[in-house]
Parts: sequence; C-alpha cells; structure tokens
Amino acid sequence: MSNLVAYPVLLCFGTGILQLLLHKRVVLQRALALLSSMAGIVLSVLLTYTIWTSGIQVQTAGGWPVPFGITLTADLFSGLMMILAAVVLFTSVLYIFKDMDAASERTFFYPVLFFMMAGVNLSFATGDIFNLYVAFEVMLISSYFLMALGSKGPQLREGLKYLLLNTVASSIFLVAVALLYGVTSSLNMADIAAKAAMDPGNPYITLAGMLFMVVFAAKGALFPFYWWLPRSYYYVPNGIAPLFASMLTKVGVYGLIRVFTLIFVHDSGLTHSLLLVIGGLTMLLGVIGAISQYDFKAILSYHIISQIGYMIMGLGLYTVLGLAGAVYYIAHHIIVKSGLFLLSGATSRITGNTDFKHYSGLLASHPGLAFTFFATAISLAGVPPFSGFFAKFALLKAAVEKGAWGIAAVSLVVSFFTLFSMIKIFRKAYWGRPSGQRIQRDRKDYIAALSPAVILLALSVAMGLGGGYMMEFALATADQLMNPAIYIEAVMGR
Amino acid sequence: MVRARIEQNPIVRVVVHTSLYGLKLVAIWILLRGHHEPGGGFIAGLLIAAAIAMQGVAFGADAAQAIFPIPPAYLLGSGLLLSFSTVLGPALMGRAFMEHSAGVIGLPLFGDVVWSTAVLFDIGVFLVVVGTMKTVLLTIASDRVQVRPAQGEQDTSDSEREVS
Amino acid sequence: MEQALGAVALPLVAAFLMPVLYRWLRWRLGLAALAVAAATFILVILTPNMSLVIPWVSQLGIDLSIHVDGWSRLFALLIAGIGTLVVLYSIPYLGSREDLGKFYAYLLIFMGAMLGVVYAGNVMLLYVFWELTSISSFLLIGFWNTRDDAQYGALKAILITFGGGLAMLGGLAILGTVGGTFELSGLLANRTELLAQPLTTVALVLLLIGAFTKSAQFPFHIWLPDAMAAPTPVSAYLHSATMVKAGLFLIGRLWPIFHVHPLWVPVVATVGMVTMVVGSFLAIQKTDLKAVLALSTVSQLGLIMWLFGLATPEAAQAGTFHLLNHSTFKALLFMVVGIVDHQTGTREIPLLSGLRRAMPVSAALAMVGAASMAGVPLLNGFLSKEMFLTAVNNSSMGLAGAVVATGASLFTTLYCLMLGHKIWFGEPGETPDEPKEGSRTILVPPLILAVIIVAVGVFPALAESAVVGPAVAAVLQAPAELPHIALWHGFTPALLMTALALGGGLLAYTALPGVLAACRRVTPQRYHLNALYDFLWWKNQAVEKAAKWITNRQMTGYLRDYLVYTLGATALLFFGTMLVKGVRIPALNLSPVGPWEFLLAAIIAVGAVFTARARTRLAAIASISLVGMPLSVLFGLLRAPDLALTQVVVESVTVVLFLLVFPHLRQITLYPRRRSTNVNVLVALAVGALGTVVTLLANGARLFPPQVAEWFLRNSMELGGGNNVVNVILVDFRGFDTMGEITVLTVAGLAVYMLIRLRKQQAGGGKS
Repeated sequence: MSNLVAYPVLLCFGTGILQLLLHKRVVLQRALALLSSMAGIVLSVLLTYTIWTSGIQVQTAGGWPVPFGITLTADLFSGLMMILAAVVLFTSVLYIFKDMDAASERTFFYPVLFFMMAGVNLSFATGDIFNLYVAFEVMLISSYFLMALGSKGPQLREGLKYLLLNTVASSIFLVAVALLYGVTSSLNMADIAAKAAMDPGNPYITLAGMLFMVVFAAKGALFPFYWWLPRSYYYVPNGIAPLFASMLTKVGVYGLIRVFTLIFVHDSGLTHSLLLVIGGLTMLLGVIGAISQYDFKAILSYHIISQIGYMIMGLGLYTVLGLAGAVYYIAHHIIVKSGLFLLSGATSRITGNTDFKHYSGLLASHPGLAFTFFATAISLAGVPPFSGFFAKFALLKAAVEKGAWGIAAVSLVVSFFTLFSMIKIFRKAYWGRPSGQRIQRDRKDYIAALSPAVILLALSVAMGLGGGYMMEFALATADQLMNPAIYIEAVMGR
Repeated sequence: MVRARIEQNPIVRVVVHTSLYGLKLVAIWILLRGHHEPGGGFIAGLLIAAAIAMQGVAFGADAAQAIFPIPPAYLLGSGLLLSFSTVLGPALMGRAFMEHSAGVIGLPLFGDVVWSTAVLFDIGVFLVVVGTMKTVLLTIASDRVQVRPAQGEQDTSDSEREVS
Repeated sequence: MEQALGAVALPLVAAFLMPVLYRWLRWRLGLAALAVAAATFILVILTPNMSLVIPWVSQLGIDLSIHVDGWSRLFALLIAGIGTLVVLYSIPYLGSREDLGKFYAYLLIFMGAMLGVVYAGNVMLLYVFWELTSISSFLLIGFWNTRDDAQYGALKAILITFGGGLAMLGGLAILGTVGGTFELSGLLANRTELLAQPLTTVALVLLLIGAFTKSAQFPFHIWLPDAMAAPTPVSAYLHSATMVKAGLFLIGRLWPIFHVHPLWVPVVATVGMVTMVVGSFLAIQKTDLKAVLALSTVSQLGLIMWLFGLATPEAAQAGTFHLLNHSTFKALLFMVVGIVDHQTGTREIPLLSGLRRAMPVSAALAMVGAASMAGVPLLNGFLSKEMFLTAVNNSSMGLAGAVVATGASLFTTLYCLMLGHKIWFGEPGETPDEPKEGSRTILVPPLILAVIIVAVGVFPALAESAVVGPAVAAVLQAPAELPHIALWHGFTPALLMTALALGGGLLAYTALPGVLAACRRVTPQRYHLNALYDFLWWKNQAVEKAAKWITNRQMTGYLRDYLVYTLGATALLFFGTMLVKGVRIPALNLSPVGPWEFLLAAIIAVGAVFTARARTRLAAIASISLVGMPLSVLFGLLRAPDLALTQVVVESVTVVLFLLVFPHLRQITLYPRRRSTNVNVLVALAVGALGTVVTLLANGARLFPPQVAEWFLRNSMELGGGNNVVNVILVDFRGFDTMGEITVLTVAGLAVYMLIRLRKQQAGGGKS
C-alpha cells in the first residue's frame, strides 16, 4: 500500500490547479509545466521500476477496503503507458514554448493541458471502471478545449464533430457500466474480473463486453468508429497535435487491452476474433485514407488510425507474443508519431503551410529537419533497425505462429502503403526544386523547434538497437496481461 | 431580445431581488447540512448559480458579477485547490490519498461541532460549481449578439462539411 | 572477429561524420571517404572465416550473428574493393559543386549495410541490413532530386525492392516459425524436416520474390533502368556490381537448403532464363548508354540466376565465377560511360561516334570491358561464359536451354559491339561538349579493373583458389568433384555455342538498323510492365485515386452520416451478439407501478415528442422542461430527494442558459424528408431499444448480490461520518470521481470562456 501509483495523476492535477491560479503569469505557468513534466518522467519511471521489482501496485482512495472504494492499480502496462505519456508531454512542452500563439497560451492553455494529462494518467492508473469513465470525461472535455483553442472556424466545425461523437461514445460507456454493474454488482475491475471468471462465458458479460468494445473502439478510433479523427486532428494547433496524435487514442487502445485481457476473456472465440477483424479493417482503411491525401498533417492523421489497427491486431491474436508486440508497438507508435507531428509542426513553421501544393524542396536549406523526418518516417513504416521494425515483426511472427494468415498478409500490405505515403511526404516536402515561402527565423529558433523531435528519434533508435531489453519488458508485460489472475490477486488477494 | 424584455419588467426585478437573499441562505444551509440530509456542495453551488443567472437576466452582467465578487477563474482555482488539498494532504502525511479525517471540537457558542475534511472537499465542489456557472453566464451575457438568418440546406451542408 | 565487426561498423559510423567533415574538408571530403573505404577493404581482406553470435533481440530469434565463409568473402571483397575504386572515381567525377557530405554519407551507409548483409549469419539480421541497402539506394538514386527522373527512379526502386523485402519478411517469419530458428546454421541443420513441411513452399516463394526484386529479375526488372538517374559512380557500384547481387547472395545462401525443393529448378531457372532473354533483347533497343548497361545488367543477373536455378554443382560454380567477372567488367563499363558522359555532355548513342581519337585510353578500356562481357577469349568473361553454356547444355533443360542461351548471348554480343565499337569508331560526331580524354585520376579505377579482367582471364587458377573455390564450397555445403577453371577445355559444344554467339552477333551488327527495326516491331509499345507501373503509381496515380474514392465514400464530412454509422454499428454489434449468444431478458421482479407514475411517464413522452417536432427554439426548450420537471417529481416519488433537487436546479439553470444563448443562434432549419431519413429513424429506434434492453438486463440479470451498495448503506455513518449516503459516496467513498468531475466542470467553464473570448479577439483584428 503506497501512494506511488497515485502520484503521476495527482502531480498533473496539482500542476493544473496551480497554473489555473497563476493564469495571469505565463512565465510561471511555463516553469511549472517544465518542472512538472520532468517530475512526471521521474515519478512514472519510479513507479514502473517498483512494479518491475515488487509486483503490481495497488492503492485505494481514502484507504477504503477493496472493492468498495476507488482502487488505483498499476501493472507494467500501466506503468509503461505513464512513462510514455510523461515523455511525450515533456517533448511537447518543449515544443509548445516555441510554437503556440500568445493569445492561446494566455487563455488557460497550461491548466487545461495538465488536466488532460491528469485524465490520461488516471485512465492508466485506475482499477475502477466508473473511475475510468470519469477519467475519460476529464480527457474529453480538456481535449475539446485544446482542439478548439484559437476558436477558428474549421476548428469549431470539426471540434463539434469530435465532441459530439465522443459524447455519444461516453453515453454508451455509461450504459455499458450500468449493464456491467447490474450483472456483477461491482465497479472494481479486479472484482468484476474475478466474478466473470466464476461464470465463464456468461452471455450477459459478453454482451457488456461488446458495449465496451464499442466504447473503446470509438475512443481509440477503430473501424467503424473512427470518423471523428482525421479532420479534427488536422485542425488541432501544431503545438498540441503531437500529444493528441500519440496519447489520446492510445487511451482507448489501453482500455480495450485492459478489459479484453482482464474481464472479457472467457469468450475470446467471439470477442477476440472480432477484434482481429476490426484491427485488420482499421489498419487497411486507415492507410488507404493516408495515401489519398496530399498534405503533411492529413497523411499523418490518417496514419494514426492505421497504426491503431496494428495494436488491436496484437490484442486480437491474444497470445503472449501478440500482446508483447502490441505493447512494443504502442510504445514505438507513441514516440514516433509524436515525433512526426512535431516535425510536421516544425516544417510548417518554416513554410507556413502543410499542404504540399504550397511548398517543396526543403532538403537543401534544412537538411537536419529533412533527415530527422526521414529517419522517423521509415521507423514508422517498420524499416530496421528502428523501433517500428521489431514491433511489427513481433506482431507478424505472432500471427504466423497462430496461423492467422489473413491478418499477417494485411499487416505486410499496410507496411508497404505506409512506406509509400511516408516517401510521398519526403518527396513532396523535402525533395524537388525549392518553392513556396520561407518564414525567416534565426538558427537558434530552428534548432529549438527541431530538438524535441530529435529526442524522440533518439528514443526510437534506442528502442530499436536496445530491442532485446524492450522485448523483454514487453514480454513481461504481456505475461501479466495474459494472466489476469495476477492482477486479480494483487487487488483482491489481501 | 428576450433578455432586454425581462430586464425592463419591474415585477421580475423585485421578485429576483428579494429572493436572492433567501437563495443564498438556503444554499449555505444546504451546503453545510449535506453530509447528513439531502444536499451538498453540488446542489448548493447550483442554487447560487441559479441566483447568479436570475440576477444576470434581471439586472445585467454587472449585477451578477456582484454575487461572490471574485473573478471566476479564481473561484474555480481555489475550489479545486481546496478539494485537491484534502486529496493530496493525507498522502503527504503518510496515509492513503484522500483519506478524510473527522473529529469533534467544542466551540463557545455552538457547543460540540463535528468537523470533517470531507466538508472542506464539499466546499471545494461548491466553489467550482459556482465558478463554472459564473464563468459561463458572464461570458455568454457579455457576448455581442449577432442575428443570423436561418440557413438553407445547401449552405448548412457547406459549413458543416469539408471533404478533402 | 574484430575485423568483421569493424568492416561493418567502420563505414556505418564514418557515414554519420561525413556531413560534419564536409564543412571543413569541402571537396577534399572524397579523400576522407576513400581512406574509410580503403581501411574497410583491408579489414575485409583480414577477416578470416568465422562464426559468432552476440545476443540482441533473442526473444524474437534475432541476434547479431556473424558468419563469414567463402561465399560472404567473395561478396565482401567486391563490396569493399569496387567500393574503394568507386570512391576514387567519384572524386574527379563529382567535382566540388555537388553536396558531397550527403553523397559520401549515403555511399558509406550502403557499404556498411551491404557488408552486413553478406556477413550476417542470422537471416533476420540479413533482412535488417537488406532494407538498409534499399534505403541508401533510394537516397542515392534521388541524389539529384530536383530532377523528375531522379524522383521517378528512386520511388520506383524503393517501391519494388521494399515490397519484395516485405514478401521476404513474411517468408522469413514462416521459415523461422517452421524451422524454429533464424540462424542460417540452424536452418541448414534442420533442412530435411524443413522441406517436409508444406508451409516451407510458401516461405520459399516469398523469399524468392524478395531475391528477384532485389536482383531485378523479370517481372520486377523495371526499376533498374530507371535507377540510372543516380550519379554514375552509384550506378557502377550499387546497380551493377553489388546491391543488385544481394538477391543472388540470398539465392546462394538458400541454395544448400532449397535446391532439392521441387519448385527450385522450375521457378529460379525459368525466371533467370526469361530475365536474361528479356534484358538482352531490350538492351539493344536503347540509345542511352546507361540504359543499355542497365538492361545488360538485368540480362547478366538473369544469366547468373539461371545458373543457380539449375541446382547442379557445376552450374553453381559457373554462376559464382560469372558473378565475380560481371562485377569487374560491368563496373568498368559504367565508369567509362561515365567518363564519356562527363567529357561529351551526352550519353545518346546516335550522337556519339569516332571518340577513339579524342579519348584513346577510354576507348581501349571500354573495348576490354565489352569484349569480356561478350565472351572473347583471354578475358575473364570468356571463361565464365563457356562454363555457363556448358552447364546449361548439361542440365535438364538440354538442347532447348542451349538454344535460348546461345540466342541471348547473340544479343549480348550485339550490345557489346555497340558499347565497344560503335561509339568509338567512324567519323567524329557533334556532341554538346568538345570531347577530350578524361583526367588521369578518373582513368585509374577503370584501368585497375581492366588489369583484373585480363589477369583473371589469363590466370584463372589464381581466382579459383583464392576466391571462387571457397565461395562455391560454401554454397554447395557438400564436397563435390568440380572441374578446374581453365583457359582451354578443348573443342566442346560450349565453344561452338560461343562461336555462334560471337559470329552471329557480328553478322547482325553489320545489319544493325534492320535488326533494330525488326526488334522494335515485336516489342510491345503500349502494354508493358512500365506502363502498368506508371498507371498505378506515377502518371495516372491509379492507386492514390482508388484510395481517394474509397476514403471519400465513407468520410463524407457529414456529422449525421457519422452518427448513423457509429450508432448503427453499435446496435448491430449489440443485437448481433444477443442473437448469437441467445441472450434472453430475464423476468423482472418490480414493485407495482402506480397511477402517478403512469401520468408522469405520459407527460415525459409527450414532452419528448414535442421537443422533436418543435419549430422554434423557445418551443423546444419549453418541451424539454416537460421532460425534465416530471422526471424530478418521479425521482421524488421514488424517494431520491437528492436527485430530485439536483434535477430541478439543473433544469432551471439550463433554461436560463438557453435563454441567454438563443439570440446568438440561427433559427431551426427544417430539412425535407429524404430516403436517408428512414435509415436514421431505424437507427434511432435501434438505439432506443438498446437502452431499454440494457435497463431491463441491468435490473433483471443480477448474478451477484449487491454487496457494494449494501456496504455503503451500512457504513455511511460509521466510517463516512454522515447520514446522507449519497453525499458520503460523493465526497468520500467515491470522492475521487468527484475530484474528476469538478475538473470537468472547471474545464467546461473555461472552454466557454475561451471559445467566446478568442473568437472576439479574432473579430477584433487580433487585439487582446
């Protein structure tokens, strides 16, 4: 019983509240943001290390006995997600200092950013299904705020779709919780899982599982629920887009993996096969969307969808290697996707635009930017020796071992199209005769805007070259996920 | 203009004015008794919000601002801080986070009074609800009104839709 | 072992220093690159045969496993040796105007990656480096990326090689799963069990696709001619001498495992044969010197592939030897063509003639290279060509194979004459630049190659014992009686075939215009593989258009469509599961419903209908109150005073808010009824039914006693210190939820503020 599991969440809450009280002092808010995001990395690493050495961390709010209070529970998967969230927050904050218009920055930007991260971290930390709903609400409203920040026409139009479709998903979440609570009389996920295991394959629980599949698929932008994502993310301000692209949908993926490895595991012939189909369609339609675009940010936005398909592929395969691949892939994706959006932002800081119609030929004048992009992009496509390769290969191998030929073939085809669209960005934006406007900035500014992406690229390289360590961690995580009894015992067993 | 018409109605103004005091009193009462009887910070906050809304409709934004005359952002911030301190405090003192404490103290006039950090939490909730409603009402009330005509279907489609 | 690791690591690490060094060294950077390449070459020579495994991602079976044998040594010598010559050649070729930092960085990355491919003892490690060579090739082809042809060639090359690489990856995944390891030695040891598995066939086909794309085999050969958009040193190095041979390297690695597979001979030999014929047939029709060379490379690669496909030891020996020879004479020819291009400003054959007067050394070098390729005695090409013809003649393909081989060789002779005779002899033509001999430095590398060509041609035993013999042994993995390579084998059928090819070629050369016209007549002009590629990826962009069509079908941009999709899919999943699982709604044990409840329910229903049909916003908000207020009464009746109170207050505040907002809103727009409305109604009904079913289930399908609720009721006073259990839950038992919800409220308030404030600022011209 230690509060460590709560600290990443509380840190974000506390930071946001202080920044709200200091909303007139932008400099102090910036300092708080930087310090807090660094502290977040330290805390989440500490938490994960503790989980690694001494098992799943559990703490109940108010010290109430399980299952009556709200239990926070962090296993390796949660810990990893919190580390990733903290890292991406840190690099985003560095970039935001460079690329956020002043009026927006003054208008409660930082408090809401940290409230959103509180919601994100709470989603990873909570062991209570209703508390997860609350965490999603915190995230949804904050993300809407940040998405519409600036209050420009297209932002409002696409933001409204985002808000409405996600609110629909939230309502279904509530309905799903009601059904699950009605059937099991509990909100504690470990308790629910224990009860579900007493009556394996109970159709009511499977039915509730379907509703949760819809909810998390909608939050995670899976087929056929991804409609809100491509356009709305396109209009998210450049400074926050990396955080949105890398973290928010992954919370939905986290939710899917959590409940479909903990609670709804007794009818996997139906649920997980369905997830496999959904995953395949998601990755295929996502990448088809991506290759149809001619805009830096739009291509990247569609790719988010496609890559979520890979993660769900790992869950759908439902083997240790498959889940390990999914975990590896999530880590890879969060780092790399965030980096790509940072690069898209850094590029449009120079050209004032993301549409390829309006510029080309940046390689000659900005080789650092171009090659950071190139390396990050081929990492996304799964070219060795970057992180993406091992993640994809683990998934491919898991599919082959299970004899899931269809999804294995789809994953290879999608890799091909992914490379094609990444090459398209590289060709259109960086190759060719220099054209379009160039916003003149000094060199220091250029380096400062580029460095967060370089940090993330270095992480991707490290996750590739240190693939053995990463894989060991992913396998240990997958092992925990495949054995829900460990989780249940950690929460209920005392 | 609905608001303009209401503002000019003397009956509304008198009713609102007098009922305000009552509403405030009721709100405080509901807030404090909430732990034992129906009530609590949320409802109390909503009641004050209703009061602010009525004040705003009847007398305009300035009058509404006069209730709890603190800038709304600080209401929100301090409310959250109050609630949050009862969450973080116990953790810093080595107990489970959000573990509330309670006890009894003897006060000169009131006799023995039960105190609880849960009430502090509830007051925080109250402040946040008031702050939110105040922010929303004041912002909307201060916005310029632009009268826009009903739109034809084609027009709506264009503004709603963007196809890449 | 240090030498092997060093040979791979040195160029890779040095590559990243090149752009930095370029700032100081400028045009002298080439010398630094030369030093790196030469050092790598020395390391390669010093590398002994060895095996070594360093754990990497062992959980997936991917380890840093180094395996050096004769086969890898042959390749490594070519990679580092020709690499050194190419770097030397590139210094005068590129001059000081180009972006040398990038050029040498790419080139050295390629060198390290390619050495990694041939030293890898783990097929997955091989794949890692394999893709790295594709990437560096892409960057090198696109080196002059402001030109359209460079972009075209680079994209084509990476699409085809990366696509093939993915097929190969799939094959490797299957191979590793079936064989239990990715280590070459392990796979080799398990080969009998491996071949018994039906899945191995799938793996083999996928692996062959990888090898064929990389080595530009028909029908994937189309990328190689367009890769010639790269600077000539790159063409000489990657696209003739080394990278395109990676596919052959893989074939050599697979040979001992798979050459007995029933698909091996039909697939590999046929593809090689077709590639050789198609390549040489197309080569003679080209007028661009580099295009001729590119297609001749395709043809020669096909020849070698054919030899390995024959699955006999003597064919493997011939293939290995020809692989070595081809690298030497083709690199030489590319270098000379580069000099011609450099000095005259054109590569078009019709514009070039009589150059031997101005460029005598180049002419001599070109003639040596071309003669070797054609198979003229005393040069190395003659020897391996003889062995090729013998191997085909002795193989199961017999006479038919021999005829095809001779025919293709005839075409080879023809394009060799174009390269070695046509442009050098006759009257000097008009060229963009006045032709003059290349500088001494640029002539040194091809000269060295020419010396090697002659030396190997005259003393083949030297090459055999040093390089070819060990390489063949590594491919065969079994002792075999092989004839020694010798200058003279006596009057054999192969000699006759060589004579026929040379003589026929000479004959055809005298009637060249007629031959070319005849060839063009039978070559498809509209429907061919390049046209298909252009249709899909470049000119018509059919793939992107199809993608756009699919995307626009679903991403309509209308919120109403998205809602229908989302809710419809939800209902479908839910009721589908109910159907599949046979879920029934259990009997409910409800308290009796009184008249008041009926009345309230009726009012709520009426309110809901009115809201939906309201024509003004004021009417709508009034109707919504008709839903909300009876609901709060209902809560009161059901003894939930907290809920009732909250509902009343929320209802009132909402009405006030609506009143405030109304003036800002447009009037309600009424849409005419259309076909999609029916779908909407259906989905709406389904969602309503879903809500009802869930409510019934949540109350009727309790599997467990309500322990949590009872615990709350029991302990509210004692532990929570309050009689009002709702409040105790809100602030204490589940107070952490409330913490989240008040954050939601706060942000919602801030959002309203932000939206209106920032919109005003925009309207006010950005003033704050």
